[in-house]
Amino acid sequence: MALNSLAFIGFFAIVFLLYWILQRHTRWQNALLLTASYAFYALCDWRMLPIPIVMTTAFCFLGKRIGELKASGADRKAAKLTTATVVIGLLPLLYFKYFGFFAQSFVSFIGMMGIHCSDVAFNILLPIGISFFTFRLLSYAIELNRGTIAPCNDPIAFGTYIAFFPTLVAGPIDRPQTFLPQLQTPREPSYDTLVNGLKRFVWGCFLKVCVADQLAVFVDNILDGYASQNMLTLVPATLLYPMQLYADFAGYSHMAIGASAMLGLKVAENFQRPFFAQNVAEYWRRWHMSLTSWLTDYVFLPLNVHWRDWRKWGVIAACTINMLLVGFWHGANWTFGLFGLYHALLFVPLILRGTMNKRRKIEWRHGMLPAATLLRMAGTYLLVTVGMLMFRSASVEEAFAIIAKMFTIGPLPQFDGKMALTAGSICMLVMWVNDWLEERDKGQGLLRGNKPLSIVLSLSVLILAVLLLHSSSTEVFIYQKF
Amino acid sequence: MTREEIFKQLESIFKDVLDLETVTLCDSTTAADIEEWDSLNHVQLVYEVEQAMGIRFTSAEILSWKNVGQMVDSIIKHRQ
Repeated sequence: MALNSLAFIGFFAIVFLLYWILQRHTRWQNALLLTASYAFYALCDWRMLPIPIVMTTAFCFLGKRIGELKASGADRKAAKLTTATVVIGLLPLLYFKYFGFFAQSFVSFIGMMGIHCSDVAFNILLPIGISFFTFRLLSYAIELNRGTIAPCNDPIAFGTYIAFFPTLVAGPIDRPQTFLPQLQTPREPSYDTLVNGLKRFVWGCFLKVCVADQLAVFVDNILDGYASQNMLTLVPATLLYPMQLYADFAGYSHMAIGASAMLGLKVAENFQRPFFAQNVAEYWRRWHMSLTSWLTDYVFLPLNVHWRDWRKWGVIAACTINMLLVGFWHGANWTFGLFGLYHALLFVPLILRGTMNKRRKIEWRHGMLPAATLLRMAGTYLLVTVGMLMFRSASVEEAFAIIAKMFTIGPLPQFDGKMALTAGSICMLVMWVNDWLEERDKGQGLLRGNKPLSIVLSLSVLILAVLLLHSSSTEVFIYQKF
Repeated sequence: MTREEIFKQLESIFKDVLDLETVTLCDSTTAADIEEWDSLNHVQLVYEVEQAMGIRFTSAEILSWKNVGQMVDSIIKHRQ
């Protein structure tokens, strides 16, 4: 059930009404959210529902034990149990997401050495949202061991944190220290939170339907049929793909954040106008922030601390492992590994020059960007685009074949979807203007007005655009498959 | 070395590593209070503090600090 489907809107409307009827009954509100979350999961894929339920139950008990060990001063035992808990938590993810890939890679590897196995097929179904709820579970165990949180003694609140339906399928990945306290305190509906939540939801829907899905018609047509294309179509399609992916995933994130806000809950932000980044390090601080901050805290930082005596080489080693994990987190394919390695290489000059974490402030001149800033942004965009081509391709060979094809010249090839491309480009301009305003005016975009008339008018225009361009065949979000 | 002296030395290290003109630290100072203090600089800071004080923190200790006060507590513990 995609967030931009009528089914979800109907589902959400029922939960929303019941939720606020139960106002001042915090535990009942949580029970409703948990029931709705599991119902939502079952509607997506009922066969896999036992997996999040079993994992949540296991972490609830293991977390309690970690907390008891920490409280009694048995820090070493707590650390060992945390390690075991993290391994247990990773097992389903490794099996469902990576077992087939590694087994297939092993069969291919021994095949190259002359040992041939009969064709083995690994058709393992991937449980929806497993990468997202596993990371929430892991951060709960790790934070307990670090002593930043206490064990959650309310299994309903804990289950809701893990399976919260607006963020279950594709994040953002919330942390226990910010989300669990919200579930343990009474929530009041206010005009501002409801209206801002609705605005975020509608804006996200606009990005998904009017930008991402429209650009996808052209991008998919060209890049999937790259063999019959040339430079004239492949270059614009490749350049538009980051915009499509951004509108798709940021659109989903806005909808998830907006739906949560309408329930009085604040979830983590996922994007901060990534294409204003002036180098790749800054790009990763603005793109899929809930994942990158998760990996920074639990992978990069511990490794960097451990290897601190190696100075910059320790940072490079930690960064390489971190970026490889970012790549493989997206899926079991060497293209994702190559994507991660490529980004790790882009970090190396920044680390050696000591500019990896230097933040360049944008000096706006009469509301416009200076030429040097624009050039740095454009350069970063091009570097990111090359990485995204690997990210999108079905195989490493396909990524290199597309790059090779980009250098072939000929007459303009035939392609479908000119109308969708036109509509998507116009809506993309609206997205750019919004991001431009948000960047310049510190978060205040096109939907900044809070007067009822301006809200009704702006939301009506966006909803009309969504209704005009909506097509039931393109409801699936790209990040849903991760 | 008194707690005040440790703070003075830390302020000097923070100024060098974070490239700040002035910095005033207290027990409750956190990374959120100093814009230039991020995860990467944090590791550089730790390394410089270890070199200056002639001590070695454990990884778990470093990752558990919530503010400068806890860092100073660790320094005092290691110097005893």
